[in-house]
Amino acid sequence: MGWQRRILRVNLTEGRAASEPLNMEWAQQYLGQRGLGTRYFAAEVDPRVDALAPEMKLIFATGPLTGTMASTGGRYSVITKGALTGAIACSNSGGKFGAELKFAGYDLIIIEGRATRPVYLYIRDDEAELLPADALWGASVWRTEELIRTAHQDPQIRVASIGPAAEYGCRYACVVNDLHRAAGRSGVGTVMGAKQLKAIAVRGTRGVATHDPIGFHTASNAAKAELAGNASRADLTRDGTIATMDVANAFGTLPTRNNRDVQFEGAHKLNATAMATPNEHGHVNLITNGACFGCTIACGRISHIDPRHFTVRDQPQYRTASGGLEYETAYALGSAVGVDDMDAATYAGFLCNEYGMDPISLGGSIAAAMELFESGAISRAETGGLELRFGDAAALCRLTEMVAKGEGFGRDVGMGSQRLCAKYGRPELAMAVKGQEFAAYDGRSMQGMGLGYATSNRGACHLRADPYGHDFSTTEIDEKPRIVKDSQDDVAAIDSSGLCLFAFSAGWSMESLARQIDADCAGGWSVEKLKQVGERIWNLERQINLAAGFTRRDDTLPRRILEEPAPSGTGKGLVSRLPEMLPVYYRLRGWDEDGRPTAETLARLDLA
Amino acid sequence: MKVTVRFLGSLRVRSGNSSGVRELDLPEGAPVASALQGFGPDSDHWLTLVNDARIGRDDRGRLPLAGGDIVTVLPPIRGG
Repeated sequence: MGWQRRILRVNLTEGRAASEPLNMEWAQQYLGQRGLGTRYFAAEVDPRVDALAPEMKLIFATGPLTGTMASTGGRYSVITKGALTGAIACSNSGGKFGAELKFAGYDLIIIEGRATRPVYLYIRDDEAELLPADALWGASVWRTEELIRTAHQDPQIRVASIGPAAEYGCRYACVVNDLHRAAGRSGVGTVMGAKQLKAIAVRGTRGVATHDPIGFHTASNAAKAELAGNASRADLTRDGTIATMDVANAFGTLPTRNNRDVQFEGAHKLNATAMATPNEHGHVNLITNGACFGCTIACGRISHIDPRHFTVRDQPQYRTASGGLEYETAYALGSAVGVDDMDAATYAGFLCNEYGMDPISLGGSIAAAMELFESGAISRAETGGLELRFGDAAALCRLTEMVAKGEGFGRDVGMGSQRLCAKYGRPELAMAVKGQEFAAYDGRSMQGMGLGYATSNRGACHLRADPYGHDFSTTEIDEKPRIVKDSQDDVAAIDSSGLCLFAFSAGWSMESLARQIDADCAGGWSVEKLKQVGERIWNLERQINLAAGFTRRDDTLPRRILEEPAPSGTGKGLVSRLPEMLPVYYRLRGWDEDGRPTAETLARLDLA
Repeated sequence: MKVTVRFLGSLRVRSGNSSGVRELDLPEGAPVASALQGFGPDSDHWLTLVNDARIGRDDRGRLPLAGGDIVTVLPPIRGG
């Protein structure tokens, strides 16, 4: 049936955990993962509640394809209110944790309340208990996983945990599983930290039943064949997402030095070739690629830092193999801060995994801090003596350590760029939407991406819409509102399935998704039904944000993108044409001029 | 005339050498599309720049190249 038809409800205040049936009517309307988690959130949480209050809930949600034999079927999401944004947050992760949770027999875990002491949730099939985590509090993500496995004498336990960054309240702390896979964005880890929930450890020994086993076998094998024969899939396997670095740079959409520039002169030192080529000492950053559960793409990078590099010279613990640079990390800890040192960026990325921080928001916040420093808004008096200049790899690494550990000025940067820039009187320098930092594309050469950032329900994000093909073809805006709207709905459905969005960059279509879902789940799943589910999810997220206090004024971009022309690249001389696109987008969505879904729209989507 | 073709990102391997760059000798006034021929059946889907200006798919068979032009080809990307 795809779904396990069961959720686990955990009340931290009362210290109890119990299972209950999954609402199967909602499963038909919202599918799973992002959609189903958001439906439970909407039913149970007042959106006005502060993200860090005990009344806030934290939902771990799998999809119906999670844990099946479908390629990339290892995804889960964490749904809550973002500590960074105050908006609905849904952060998606791979690795093997999601599948293990499904094997234990649960579609969702709903976390309520706040523990009086640090605890972790230990699940072994039907058994679920809260255990003391005093000894784990303060430990890194990496150490926490090791300690839990040792305590239970089970190396097959899968762990999703927070690090020290979440414990002190870094606003973009994430939930990290399997050492270097993360539900990274919006501060979902910060919410977990506020609840004093250090980790969820799970061991499952069941399988996942499907609606039509033979049909599912056929559909999933056909979908794997689609990936196997696709050139983009082969590229992703060989080069990883970091291959995008050259493309974005040549095109002029690589945010550089806090979006002052859109091309980076050091991009060639951060690209896929540099990662796989021996440096002057013969050291190669890339060791191999890696895959999440069931994935036949394996885009992940496993890297190690040159032992002669300044970051690890006196820290041998960071000379081991670990999760290497993806494109977004290379942008955020590279071009965004003007640093062309691959090992420095890799080190900062390791710290993000170890301490549990979103590298995109970290890099965006450090870039904002560097511009604050260079413009004179802050000085060494505020930074604790640190010279914060674009291009300084040592400053990047030192400030990353300070943010990770909550030291001095690191706590300011840990608030995120929007709070940081507001504190020091230059709010316009935060390259963020709804408080969340930009991803690795510029909204001037990519007009659709700008619209996607502005309208993303969780704040600026490159994975909430798919305007890529059209944006690389033209800057004409006529078609962009429709493309952004339609692809937002498609992505919402994909994010609710248990599959990885990247498979849809590597050969899959919505038809590939529908065939697999329809064999996995009862209910007759067509492309049309999936698109309607996606649109329903998008509008439900919008309703939550409106109830939380967001308005049309929040569907915007920083002044730099709206008023300062791109200095180079294919978008040279352009600013974002968001003011022209936004009203058209609202009309296509069936929203009024203030961006509120009309009664007709809500009725059509069964949201009235 | 001499033109340079730069293959970026995952298209680098299509150049047939480690530099990712090919120097071509084309007839005077040859269209942009002629610089892409022979590098793969999917070249129609590549993003193409000439001297950093985007050239739409429909214009590649029409717009002429000039000696010294740099043609940059990029694979289509979707997120990352």
